[in-house]
Amino acid sequence: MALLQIAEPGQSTLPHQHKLSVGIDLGTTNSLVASVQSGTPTVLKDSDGKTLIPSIVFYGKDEIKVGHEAVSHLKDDAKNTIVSVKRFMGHVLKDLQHRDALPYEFDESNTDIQLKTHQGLKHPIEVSSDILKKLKTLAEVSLCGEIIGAVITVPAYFDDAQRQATKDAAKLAGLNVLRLINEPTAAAVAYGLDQKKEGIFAIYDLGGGTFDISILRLSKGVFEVLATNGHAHLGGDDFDQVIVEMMKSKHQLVELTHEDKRSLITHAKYLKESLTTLKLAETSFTLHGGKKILFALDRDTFKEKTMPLVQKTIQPIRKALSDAKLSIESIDGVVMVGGATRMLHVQSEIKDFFHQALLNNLNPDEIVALGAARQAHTLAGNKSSEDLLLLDVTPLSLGIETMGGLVEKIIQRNSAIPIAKAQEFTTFKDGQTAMSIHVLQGERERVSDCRSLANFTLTGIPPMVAGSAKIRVTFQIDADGLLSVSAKELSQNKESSITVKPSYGLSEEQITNMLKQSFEKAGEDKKIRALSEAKVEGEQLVTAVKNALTEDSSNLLDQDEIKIIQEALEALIAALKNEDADLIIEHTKHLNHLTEPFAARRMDQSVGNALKGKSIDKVNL
Amino acid sequence: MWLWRKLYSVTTNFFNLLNIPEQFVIDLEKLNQHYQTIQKEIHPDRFASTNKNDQLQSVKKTAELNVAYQTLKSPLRRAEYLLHIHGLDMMHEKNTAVSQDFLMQQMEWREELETHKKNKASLEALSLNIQKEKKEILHLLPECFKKKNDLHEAIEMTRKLNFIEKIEQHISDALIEIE
Repeated sequence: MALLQIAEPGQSTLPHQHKLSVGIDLGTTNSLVASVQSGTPTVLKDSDGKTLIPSIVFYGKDEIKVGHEAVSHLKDDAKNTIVSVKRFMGHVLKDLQHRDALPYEFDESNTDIQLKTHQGLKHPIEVSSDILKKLKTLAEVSLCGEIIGAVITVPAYFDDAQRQATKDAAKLAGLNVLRLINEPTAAAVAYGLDQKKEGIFAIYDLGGGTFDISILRLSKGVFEVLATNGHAHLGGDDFDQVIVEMMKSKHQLVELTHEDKRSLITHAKYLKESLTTLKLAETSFTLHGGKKILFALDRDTFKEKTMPLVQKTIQPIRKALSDAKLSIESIDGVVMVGGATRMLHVQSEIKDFFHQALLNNLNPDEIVALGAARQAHTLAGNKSSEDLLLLDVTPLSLGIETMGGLVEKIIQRNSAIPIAKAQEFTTFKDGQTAMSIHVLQGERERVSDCRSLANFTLTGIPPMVAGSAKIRVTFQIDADGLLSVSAKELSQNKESSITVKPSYGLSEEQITNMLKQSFEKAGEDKKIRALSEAKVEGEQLVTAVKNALTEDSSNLLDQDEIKIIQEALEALIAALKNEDADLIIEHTKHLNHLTEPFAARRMDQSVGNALKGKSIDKVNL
Repeated sequence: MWLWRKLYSVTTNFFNLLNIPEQFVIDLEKLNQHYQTIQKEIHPDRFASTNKNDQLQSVKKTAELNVAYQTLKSPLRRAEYLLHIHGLDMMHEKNTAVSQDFLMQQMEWREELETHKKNKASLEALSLNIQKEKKEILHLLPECFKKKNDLHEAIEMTRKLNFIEKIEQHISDALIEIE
């Protein structure tokens, strides 16, 4: 008799039965990759046993090095060794502050940020993608298998452009993004599940380059973000910069080489980190021209000089509390996340602010990746013992430009996502056939103070008397926090619809080209890849439609609908037997289109069922 | 370009969606329970590794559910939505049919906020004052909504509440600026 394998619910019996998935914390200073193994999230180690991979990429004449291997080049080739690229994500050149202090050369003829390296011009998205490729390989070696999907974390306060840039970088690295999730939310998941805690928690996340504060309610496996706030450019790097300025003024350093600039930052970082254990730290090094630098810093001076930076985190906390309609007293715990929360004066200030001891019993560097790994494991379709539900929000309000350069808000900050809101517009001139819509993100009232996301023109409006055209514009934020806008002209029974993706960063075409190049480099055949992708998607749909028909065809479809769907289903099954990607894609599209109303009815039915019959005891908990 | 009007869902009644009686006074705990129970079934995370059709429908439905929950959770938005259901769209009407007394009151509060923008104690006193008025309105609103044939009072109260929530936000912003 064969023995039955018995496993705990939520755990597969053998590692290779899992659909391999990873959680990636793509940090400003360091990046980590974690995965659920035998039911437990674990940070994966590289061949040297290291978990923290420096987010550093070296573009040499004949090679690209990432992580620890790239570190040594900071000293000998700073210009080609890119650090903290996360700070550039989703930005254009004119956004950059402290450009003089950076040891890079930018292509000034471009509005986008393009770094000049031995490997040609590099967009921040490409640099990030090289870090992600490294992490992907690390995971595949460590887990001995192909990764089917990844959850990538982003700062909660990242705007649409920064999120889109991150997702593009993942795409370029050949990763299937299951979800972008917010770093503090990931940390809350890891913390809440590890410590079995319930209540209202504040997650204070100060990383290398970003600051987030999120207030969450943890209850029965539901992680509901009540409010989030932060600063997209505030982190450990800024504390280093303060020390750099102190060194520069003490030693009257004016003309510095790229390598000198990098040395100053490296030694500043060393001093900052030393001061968490020492009261006085010192460092000495030699600059390019032979000048010797000796610099000592004591804890009190460091605290005094960087206090304004710590203070900068307080206002976002107050705003988040105010938006969540909570007082400091209602916070049950404060979880500290991110390497920069190791600084002692950060800890003491935050402890004083919340009037309570801080929760820092989990490694602040690892907690985000661990939470992301949990979520990736579930999203990849593995059974999990915990029934998790993450309800996150959008950090910034979304609006459109109206008369007089003012912004009319359409989606308020801290709205739960996904969310969609529609507005109707009309023409204000007789015979007007076009209308332009300017989409903005931010809290300020004036267009010039908000971030411009997209600017598009609706054309082809039938000429009519002013005020009689009706154009419905829908703004949607998806589960990754990404925006899309669609518009429909309704007045003449003629529904034309367009969908606009915000226009910045890389275009779809640029990404396709870069992907093509990377395939060519890797010697991969694009056609084989396209065919395998088409097959996977087609087969997924076949299974889903078959199941749906078995479950719901009798109550949700009439005989004609069943017949049409079945014909298209059989056509797709036949197409899948061929090796023709285009044919498979065509039939997949067709079946997708035909079953759309069916899928919608099933979703409505789920809503109804959720509150009926089987769920009664859940409802009455 | 003209902003014509904001749209609620074209097809779905938010009260029905969340299985809550269509009235101003609602059980908030029940609302939250229903919201979370439905979320557990339809949230996009439940469909992350399924086909595109289901993913698309899940995002659509969850987006609608989130708007519905956001609307019903807040007394002001709930009141506005109830009026909308009764065909009384007041969101962009400029002719505020608010009583003379309340107009005077508004101006007084605004002035007070401007003069004491940097004074924590005064702002907190003003906030307390406004909260009292808000409490009174929230106390009266259920009765106003009971008169289904004459919702004039409900409209007026909702407008007052709208103003109060706005000025509350300004006070809260000003207080954060001071700290």
